[in-house]
Amino acid sequence: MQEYYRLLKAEFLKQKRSFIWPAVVLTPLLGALLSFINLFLRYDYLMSLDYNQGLSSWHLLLIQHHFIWAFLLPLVVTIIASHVHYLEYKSNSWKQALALPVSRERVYLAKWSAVFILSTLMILENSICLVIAGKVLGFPEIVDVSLFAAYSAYQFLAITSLIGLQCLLSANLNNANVALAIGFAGVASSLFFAQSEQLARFIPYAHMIYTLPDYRINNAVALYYGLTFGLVFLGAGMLGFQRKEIY
Amino acid sequence: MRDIISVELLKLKNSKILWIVTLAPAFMVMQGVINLLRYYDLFTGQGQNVWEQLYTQSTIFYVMILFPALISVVMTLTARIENSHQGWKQYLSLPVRKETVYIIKFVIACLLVLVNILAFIICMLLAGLIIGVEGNFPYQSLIVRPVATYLAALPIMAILYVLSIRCSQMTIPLGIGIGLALPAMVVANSKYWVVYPWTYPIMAALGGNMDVFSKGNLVYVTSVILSSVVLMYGIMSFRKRDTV
Repeated sequence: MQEYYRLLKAEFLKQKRSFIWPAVVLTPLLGALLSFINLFLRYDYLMSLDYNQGLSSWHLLLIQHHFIWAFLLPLVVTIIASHVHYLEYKSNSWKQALALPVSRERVYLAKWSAVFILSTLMILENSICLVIAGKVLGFPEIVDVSLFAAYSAYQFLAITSLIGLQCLLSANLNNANVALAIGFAGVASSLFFAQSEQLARFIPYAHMIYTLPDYRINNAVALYYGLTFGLVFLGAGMLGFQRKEIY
Repeated sequence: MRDIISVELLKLKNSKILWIVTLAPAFMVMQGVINLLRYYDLFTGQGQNVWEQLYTQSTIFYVMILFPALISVVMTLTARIENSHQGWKQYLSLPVRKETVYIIKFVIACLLVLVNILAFIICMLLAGLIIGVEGNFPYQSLIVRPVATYLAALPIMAILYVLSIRCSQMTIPLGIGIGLALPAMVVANSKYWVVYPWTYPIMAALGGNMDVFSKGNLVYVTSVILSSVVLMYGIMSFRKRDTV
């Protein structure tokens, strides 16, 4: 366990001067700012639509925000997953890292955990920024804590599958651009995949679409399939990494 | 100059970038076709042109998300080797003009993006023939608009290229490219679109179908001027840059 903590610490040390931290901090801010502007300009119009009748202001904010966030978060997570592995390819340091007396599985797990922790921070910051946006907009209702808690929890689980897949790709493809391109194409198509619930279950890129707590959306897709695929890809990644040839 | 071009092409040889720029639009067209077939009656029930519907279904997510994301990838890749192995120092210590290197790299990157657009057009045509689309062939939508989208994207290419050359970390141009692409959907509907180059491809691609995005030829004029200014700035700063 000590070894895992040290490896995880080393992963964050490697990111210390990289653009990852500004990206992690600025991405939720950007998403929340866009939703704030959207509702600042169109709150009365949106509330008057039949489709939104009976919704609380907080729920409306989440629905409007989700359309941007469900793309923005996976795209940035794809970049982070790629960057964490690309650092080793860039400086040719896989050989040195794996020649040390450390378990390969833990090296992979530490990288996966670093991506997961950074994603978690983005999700939490996003929820906090949305609450602040709602307060500044002066919503009449009190903050719907359970709504935000459910939204965050679904995202933690849904993003697990995407992290698992992108880490698996990034660790195995020495060309970071290929992993990135696959991730970007997957995210760009996520809404298309999400149109079919049957198909979306098996496509990690579509799981994020199902995280909006709304009676019209089946959150079970994000809950169960996100976590299941996340663990399957993590296991597959660790196994594959154990056998990885390093020259 | 010929040597520089061949060296730059050689660097791209094993990068798989040609596969990326070709297969990514093919994937988006495939998704568009499946969506069109799935909701065929809904999209064509009122006598709409099927080619136009194929174009719209294939283009929406391509132009809003994948196209700007791919531009970021291509521009990042252009400077990858030099940035990752201190290659600038070696490259520019050779008897080559800095400006020539800078422009050739940019032209090659722009050609790769053009390949991406051409692949998108060809895939749409093939898809239409395969599923047996009938009716008038809309040259305007299937050929002119994708090319116009390419022209409208020139400022994005120039901005991301300048960033890719300046920043040794690939996450900076990638992050900025992606981070600015998504708000474009919101900004395109406002009067501030002109200061936001990421909206230009959306307007060029979807202008006719979605009136809100239609801004006329101003997009192309602004696009050419802006990309020239950014590129000139990039060349001047690269000329003065200390590569040690």
